[in-house]
Amino acid sequence: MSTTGRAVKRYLSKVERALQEAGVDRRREIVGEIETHVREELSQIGGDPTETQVRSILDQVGEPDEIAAQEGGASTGRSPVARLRDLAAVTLLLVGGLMIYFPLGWLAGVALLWWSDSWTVRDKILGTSVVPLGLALPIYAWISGCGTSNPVAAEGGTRYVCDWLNMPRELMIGIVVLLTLAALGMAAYLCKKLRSSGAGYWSRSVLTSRILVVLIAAGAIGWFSTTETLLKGAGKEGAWKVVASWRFQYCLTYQHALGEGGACGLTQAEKVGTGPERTGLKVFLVDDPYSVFSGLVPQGVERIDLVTASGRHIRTEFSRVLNMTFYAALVPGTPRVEVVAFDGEGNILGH
Amino acid sequence: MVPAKDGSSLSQMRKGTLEYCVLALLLDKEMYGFDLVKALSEVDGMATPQGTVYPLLARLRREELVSTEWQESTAGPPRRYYRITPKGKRALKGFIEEWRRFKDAVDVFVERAGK
Repeated sequence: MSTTGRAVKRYLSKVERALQEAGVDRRREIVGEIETHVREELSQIGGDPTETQVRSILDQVGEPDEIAAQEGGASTGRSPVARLRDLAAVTLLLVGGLMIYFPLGWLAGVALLWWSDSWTVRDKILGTSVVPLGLALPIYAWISGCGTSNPVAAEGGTRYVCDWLNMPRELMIGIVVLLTLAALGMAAYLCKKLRSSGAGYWSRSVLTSRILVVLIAAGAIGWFSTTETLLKGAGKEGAWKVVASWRFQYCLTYQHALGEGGACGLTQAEKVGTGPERTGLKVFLVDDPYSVFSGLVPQGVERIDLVTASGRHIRTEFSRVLNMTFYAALVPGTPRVEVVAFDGEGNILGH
Repeated sequence: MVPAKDGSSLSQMRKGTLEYCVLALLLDKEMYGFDLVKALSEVDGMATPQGTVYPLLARLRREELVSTEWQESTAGPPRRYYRITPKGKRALKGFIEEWRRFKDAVDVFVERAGK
């Protein structure tokens, strides 16, 4: 490329950078028109334009910043689609965690937030990390941690202690209120920090965060499809025997499940969890769409299968127990779960 | 030539009126962007850095005051031609009436001061 060609190209990319705040279509249109204009001027010179001639033409076209200022003054903001996207992002971040398929709603909000070109990276980080799960966090913390609270005899009367972490109820209320306010405040902050117009597709930070969103989404899909394959495999093997079947109500009581039995299915867990130490199989199942399963490996147990009421098998190796926790949470309306435990050779345990 | 920084009052006035000058230019015939910019720059007082006209044209197009059409060119790539729309004509008509009133009003004071 000639020196003059390079000068023009450099100038156009400066214009493009200056128009960062404009949407991609408008930027393309304006830069395209200016490029045509410059070429037209050059062609009128005829022959090879000198450097001075090129500079004079570019001077007449104007400083990139001046051009961008004209655009900025006339800006009418984001497109309706972008508006909708950003509104959806804030809404999902706030209440998405409360929707069915927890926590997919919130995750979708995070994806939209990072996809958007209306926030800076700093605001995106804040939006994601300040109160993850949005309002769902305080609400679930309350339901699961303090849905039942136990009266404990204390000096000067009865004191209420939340099941979760043995926390005094007052402290838990404080934390829940704080988290709720923080979640609402964050949503307000994100609305306030919305840029009047998007940064555009080619800004480096937007491009980076979009690539991140795609990569993480692809990773997540890959992860879940592995689980899905496992599930299908489990369905075909068929002949496994159900050794225990329970209905659980909110039984996230750590101690109950571990120790004294009764309240939340420890006795049933004993049926499954064999082994000399009887460390027991901790099964925490919540009888609602947001079912949570978590298991601790009793001696000799290599994998556990869950069968949902719809006849669906959820099978997991214990190395994947976290994965299963997540997956079980994604099966809506899991009213009854049967647990089968196997050892490494595929023998049913618990008999 | 085009002064990059000129009298600020002229630049302010031009800011509000340039788009109507563009519409007025397009009233008779559709124009190629380059020719349009050149026509504007030929009139003293309306000359502005040429590149700044294009964002303005893009906005007029989005507001549907002008429409554009690609036309083949005998020399070089296809050209984007600008044409005033009925909405653009109405906007221009409204502006012309206001402009006359405004100009007369300013004259009342300015002419006296100039004497």
